[in-house]
Amino acid sequence: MIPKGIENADAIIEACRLTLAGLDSAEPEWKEVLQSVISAIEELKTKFFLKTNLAIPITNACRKDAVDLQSLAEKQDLSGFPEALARFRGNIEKLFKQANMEGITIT
Amino acid sequence: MMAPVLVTGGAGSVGKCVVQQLRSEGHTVRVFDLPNMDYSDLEGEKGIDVLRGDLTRPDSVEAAVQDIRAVIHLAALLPPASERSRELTFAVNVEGTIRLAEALKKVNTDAPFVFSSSVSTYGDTTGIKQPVTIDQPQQALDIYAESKIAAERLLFESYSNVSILRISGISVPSIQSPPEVWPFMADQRIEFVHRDDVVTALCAAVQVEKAKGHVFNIAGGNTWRTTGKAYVKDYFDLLGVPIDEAHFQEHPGWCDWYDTEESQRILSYQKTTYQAYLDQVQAEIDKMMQE
Repeated sequence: MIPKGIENADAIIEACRLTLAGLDSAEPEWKEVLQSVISAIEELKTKFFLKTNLAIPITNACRKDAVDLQSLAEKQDLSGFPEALARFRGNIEKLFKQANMEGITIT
Repeated sequence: MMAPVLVTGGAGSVGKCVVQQLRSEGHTVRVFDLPNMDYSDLEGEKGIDVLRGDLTRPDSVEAAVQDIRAVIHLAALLPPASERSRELTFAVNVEGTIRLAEALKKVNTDAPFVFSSSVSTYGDTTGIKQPVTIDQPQQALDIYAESKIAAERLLFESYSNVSILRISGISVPSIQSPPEVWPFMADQRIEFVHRDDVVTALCAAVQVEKAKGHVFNIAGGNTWRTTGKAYVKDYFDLLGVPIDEAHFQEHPGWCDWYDTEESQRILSYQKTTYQAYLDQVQAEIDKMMQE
């Protein structure tokens, strides 16, 4: 069974790709943010953290944000996009902070 | 004011806890560590004197021992850094230790010197039936253990008031990324020890008269005796990760069960049960899940 954190990560990447496809003439900065999130999440998928229960709440939040962005882009309703993108970035940063787990101490 | 206790490596993770413990007991402390360490929660604190230096430099070691009354020597190159250069590891872990002892002898011949060594100096003990005692022949599996064996021997020859603590793997109650391959076999005996109990042992060793001239095994005690796979499973269960995600060494590591009867009798440090450690990890997980 795929861990929920990995499943969420895949869903975040997919939602970001679909959002990018719907942002043809939008702000280049938004696209840059989404591209960098895709790359970072691809890398994060190899980390142990995403296999743990710890990853579920924060990746759930990021997934919801990503789906919200996708929905705004599909509807071309871009007035609320900056606010939604800021919320997404905040949760993505929190995800990376949590995933930065310490190493074991061995004497 | 009472002369300070010198804590080398005092800005490291265990070192900072030792400094806090000594301060809570009313001791003044001199922290000696490399200049690039983080001193933010030490510098400027009452009763703490920070000295940036390097064990490989005679002038900074001589400055570190001025007017001190005891030493807890934690500074060392640890794996994996220790395995990159035998020369550097020996310069720090062996020559640095002896330099410190020689410098101390010049200013205070009676000061207790507590040396942080490792149970890894016993090497592969899987063929031994009983818990490993301090008389077990030492046989290094890596450069780090080799350096600790050499330092122990030279220290005993050069300084009289020394206590050597051979410390087992330290379990820190926080969420940690597991190594790609755990450094023991699945069915190997392991007995780690809680970080707080190590701190208690180190602080006791510098103060208890009976510790003088002794070698101690420092491990968690009966409640911590388990096998590699069971230890990892307990941790993975807390995180909701299947145990088949864990990879173990196929050859023995240095872990085992240890005879700690004497160390516990003299230092009274085994205060945290294995279950209490797991409960602390669970509390950390709960905290993270709520954030």
